[in-house]
Amino acid sequence: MGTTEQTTGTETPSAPAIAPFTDLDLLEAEALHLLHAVMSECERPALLFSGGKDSAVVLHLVSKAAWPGEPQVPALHVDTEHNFPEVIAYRDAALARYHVELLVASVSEAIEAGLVVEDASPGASRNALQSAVLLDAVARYGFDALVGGARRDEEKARAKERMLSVRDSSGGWNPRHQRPELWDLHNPLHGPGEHLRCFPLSNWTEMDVWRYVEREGIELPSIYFAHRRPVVRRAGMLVGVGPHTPPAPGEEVLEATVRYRTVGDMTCTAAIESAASSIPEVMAEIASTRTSERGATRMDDRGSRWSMEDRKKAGYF
Amino acid sequence: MAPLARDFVRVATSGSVDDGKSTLIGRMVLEAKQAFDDEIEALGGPGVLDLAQLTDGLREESEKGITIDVAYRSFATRRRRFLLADSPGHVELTRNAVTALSGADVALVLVDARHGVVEQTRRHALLASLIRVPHLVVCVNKMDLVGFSRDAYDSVRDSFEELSERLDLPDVAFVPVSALGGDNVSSRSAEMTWYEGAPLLAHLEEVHTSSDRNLVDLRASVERPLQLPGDRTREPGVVLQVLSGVLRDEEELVVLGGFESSSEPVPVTIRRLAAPAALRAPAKTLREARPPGIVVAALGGVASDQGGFWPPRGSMLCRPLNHPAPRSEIDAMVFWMGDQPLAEGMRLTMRHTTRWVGVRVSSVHYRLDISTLHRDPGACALGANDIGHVTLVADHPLWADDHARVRSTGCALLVDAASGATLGALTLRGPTSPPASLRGVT
Repeated sequence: MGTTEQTTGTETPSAPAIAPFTDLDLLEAEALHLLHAVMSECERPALLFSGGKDSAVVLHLVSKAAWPGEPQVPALHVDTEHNFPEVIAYRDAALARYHVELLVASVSEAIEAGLVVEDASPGASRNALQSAVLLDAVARYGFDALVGGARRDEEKARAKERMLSVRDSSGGWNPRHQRPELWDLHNPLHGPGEHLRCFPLSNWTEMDVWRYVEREGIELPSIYFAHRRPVVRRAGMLVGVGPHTPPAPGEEVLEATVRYRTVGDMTCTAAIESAASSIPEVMAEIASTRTSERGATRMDDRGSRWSMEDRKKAGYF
Repeated sequence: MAPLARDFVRVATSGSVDDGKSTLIGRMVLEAKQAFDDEIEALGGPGVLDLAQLTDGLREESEKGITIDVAYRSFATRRRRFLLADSPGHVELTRNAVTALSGADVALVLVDARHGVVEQTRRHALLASLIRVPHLVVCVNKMDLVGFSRDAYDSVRDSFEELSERLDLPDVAFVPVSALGGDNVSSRSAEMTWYEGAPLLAHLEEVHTSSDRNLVDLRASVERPLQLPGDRTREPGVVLQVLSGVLRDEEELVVLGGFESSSEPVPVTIRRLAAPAALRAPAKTLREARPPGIVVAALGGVASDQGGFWPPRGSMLCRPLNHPAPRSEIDAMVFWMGDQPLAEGMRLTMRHTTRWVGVRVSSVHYRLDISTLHRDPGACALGANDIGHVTLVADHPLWADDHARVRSTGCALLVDAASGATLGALTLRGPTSPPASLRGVT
């Protein structure tokens, strides 16, 4: 943050007066500045919380922005009930630790209420249903700003996203009519029926997230680190076998040492073979990998080149 | 392994239609080995890659082979971390180019070696000059299509230098490149041995940005007031962002805008400067903070007759003898992006630092023709993507600096309060902080 720590009596007078000003400090200041704008100027902001590493970092930043108090924003989890059990356990523990209230928008309840229609084929993903459930929750709770952990480096449509992005009354994203973002002047005003999406990690990379996790001592779900898991090989990916992801006929179940590089639904998130069991080992692995984060693990991005753009236009996060 | 302390350089790229800008960005990212295999595969496999596809992320962009909206891409070399803001050359020119250029350390302007300096080049150079981007690099691209001719390069260079004489561009460099072939991008081109300068990436690694930051004029903006924990003296607490200058513990400062009802500076002393922590942990004590650092502080020394003093979001801390004089009449260059014209008498709301202030457009002095640099004083309204000189009258006094002196307090947005739409960008001009006489300071 471009700051100098108080010197102690043991330091020599020749010790440098100025602490190194790192790129991570800049990214943190940029994120806090944006969070202050949203938390001070929006009426009912909420944190989108999936239990993944990006939302864990945002939760930590929201807590810093609320210092010395507790964050006055609830966390909203759009729950497909296709989650990794380890992530749900982490979600509850992390939100309790940070004193943040959990609100669950349930895809199952939405299906029962007839809000959305489920694809009944085996192993089908509920990913596409999340947008409608999210927008329903926005209307129900009256949220005017949703803070999320999306990063521009994840995907090309996200590279065009603003840090504060307006969604129209049907939740849609209109990439052609985005507000200009100038200097670091944030404009959280919006018209009636519209809401904002706020992305404090816009300019962070996967590596930045891990560096920050290490520096700040942020806890993450255990599945980000190497563990043994029954998997099948499907379309060049390792898919964990579980109640919502049964092996297809003819697929051989094998046990492998894997970790998850991203965390989404069990039905659309693949594992990678990895022995990285600590943060430094994970960072070394990312530094040498030749595959992008979503390219390695996200089955939902493989629908078409434009699947993310299309989902964002429909209100996806 | 992740490097520890790297500086972060923001680069805005702009060019005209078809001058190969997206291709150059793709090439830089590729040569810095920052593109992943699955991204490269999506460009059409080995051989001649469609490098533009690395950044043209929208369906319409790919189908039309153009860039529509500003895209951001991070990449790093061994020495530096870069954030590229790529703006389209033709669509909504002012809106997108100003978006990319605002906050940029380096403007990278592409020129097609076959066409030389064209109208679009002049516009981009003018915008970079008006936004005061400290460094500009002219990439003379498509050198392969002019036989790597030194004459072609020299001619572009000469005409750009003639243009830049009339502009405020403190640092201009030229690099002849072929983005398609990778000549002079990361390594020296064997085809252009006559070029003695550094390849583009080496140049970007070397650009001296550390002197660009203003560490003289202290401006610290209140992000929010807060109640300090365990505070017996009831001193007001604030979260501050240091916008310029250096903020030190135990320093005697003044707060501008501390009271709603008065624009008089209120003297305070910074006590217990600290970095905010998560999980309600104790904040880490600091001796000083630099921009854009976010810190918490207690404000001591507030006179006892000023009970209830709690500086609101948007108030600002400065040194007693170095602060902008509060003023309601604001002179500014405006970059207008609204569909409705900006006209005299119009009412808008202005975003300055973290404050909202209502303003009225009192006069439009001239419209600047961004192709000829001609000033049209007959204009009394500005259309979409026009640039002009205006005077605004604010409902409450602002503590604004001249943009040339303090970038962060010398810029603002014009917003339509009803819809929330951002309609204009402002670079503020005007009297820079004659030391005000201070009531209550001895």
